[in-house]
Amino acid sequence: MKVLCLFIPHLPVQWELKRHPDLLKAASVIGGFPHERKTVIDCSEKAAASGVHPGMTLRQASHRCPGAVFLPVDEAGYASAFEEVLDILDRFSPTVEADSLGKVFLDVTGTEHLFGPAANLAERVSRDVLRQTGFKSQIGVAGNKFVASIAASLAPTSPLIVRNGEEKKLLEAFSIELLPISQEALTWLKRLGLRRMGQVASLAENALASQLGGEGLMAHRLANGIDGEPVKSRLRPDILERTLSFEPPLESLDALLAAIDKLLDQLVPLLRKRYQVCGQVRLCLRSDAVRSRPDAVNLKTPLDSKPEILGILKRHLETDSFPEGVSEICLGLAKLGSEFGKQAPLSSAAKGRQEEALQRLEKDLGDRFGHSSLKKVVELDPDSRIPERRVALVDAQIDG
Amino acid sequence: MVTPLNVPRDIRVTADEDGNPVFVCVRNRQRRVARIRNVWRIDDDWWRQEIARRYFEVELSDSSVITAFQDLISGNWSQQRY
Repeated sequence: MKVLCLFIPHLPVQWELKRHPDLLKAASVIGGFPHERKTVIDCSEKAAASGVHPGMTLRQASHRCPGAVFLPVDEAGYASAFEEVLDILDRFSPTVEADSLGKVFLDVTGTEHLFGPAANLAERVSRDVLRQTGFKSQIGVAGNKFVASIAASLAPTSPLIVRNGEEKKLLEAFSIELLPISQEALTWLKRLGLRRMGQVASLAENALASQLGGEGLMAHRLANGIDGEPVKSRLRPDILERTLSFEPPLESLDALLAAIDKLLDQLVPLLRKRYQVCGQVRLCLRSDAVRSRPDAVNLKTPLDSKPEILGILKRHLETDSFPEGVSEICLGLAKLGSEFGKQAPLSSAAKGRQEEALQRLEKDLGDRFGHSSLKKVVELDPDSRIPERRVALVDAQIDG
Repeated sequence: MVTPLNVPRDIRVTADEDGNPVFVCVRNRQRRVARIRNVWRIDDDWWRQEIARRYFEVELSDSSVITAFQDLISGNWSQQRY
């Protein structure tokens, strides 16, 4: 495995500087205003030089750095800026994991054929992120996530590539505080006089495991540069979306509903083709070149029926004030799930419905995969002393 | 097709000289055996493919309880609900 870790130091500060370039010369503190009882989320290097650090109260920060500019937190802004970075990184690997704000892992195993050696890839990633978002980043490449993350923190100017076999040597001098273990485990290690990862790595694995259990085992492995944690792909919300534009703009609710009807004609077949239902409808209207905020309508029961979705949207729009001159409609079906996520009514004949649902499921599986994979659990020899001989799975035969 | 359920899953076990488990590796995490709650032995099928297992119901250091056995013919350890 080869992992690239991209770290954007002080992402909130970098983002605020993009919005307010005049702050470049000033010390800035993000978290709120000095009179508020909140804590510092991030601060510029100038503020850090005065002793400000994340986690301290804003009042303390204002005492340490009286000339600093205090800015409120804009979580949505940082998240969208980070999302922009992730979109750029998607071009370099199919497996991109957003670890925390400003820190990303990419599984770049086998990408040499596309981007050349790891150093070239890292340079290209860093250049693209800087050019397209304006964020300065630090990059580390190694055989696993832990070492790549440490390497990224060590590479303020140019990417650091850790070759296979050099992991342990790189980590040797680092403090054990960097190990992702509990405070109790850390205190226990310190009580033994262990300060550096090299010291932890030189201990016997069993000794650490017997004292600290799984944490000890993990600490020993990480200190030796071994980390089996895979890079996990980030989850992106699945939305089916279509847009319609109008010239001249729509002026009545009936016309708007007719347009939504047309959009649902395109979206509902797509939904059914995926054997899914939607739990939320998102409607975004553009009027006078201003795009409204997306209006999310949550459905009580997930649906795949056009008349029902249209009826719900009609009732929703009737209670809302109709914007004048709608020039564009964007309709999205979100919170998509399996059609069996539909809520069954609480009434009698449950068994009959269950059989019906099973028959339908068997038919759908047959249609999609050419054969049904439905199995049922049967008792073979329930009194057997050998556990694996008691029950088994056999092909299900559901009578139609 | 018949697929048996609850088939034994290989695990790594460190045993003492009496053959009792001391450390068990569950989901890549090594845990100490805090207490052996029960031990029993099964011998079966000696006339065809012999089965000889020594089962242990053990309580681990994180308070979880698992059942594991040692195949007395191959010496391998496995986890299995009983």
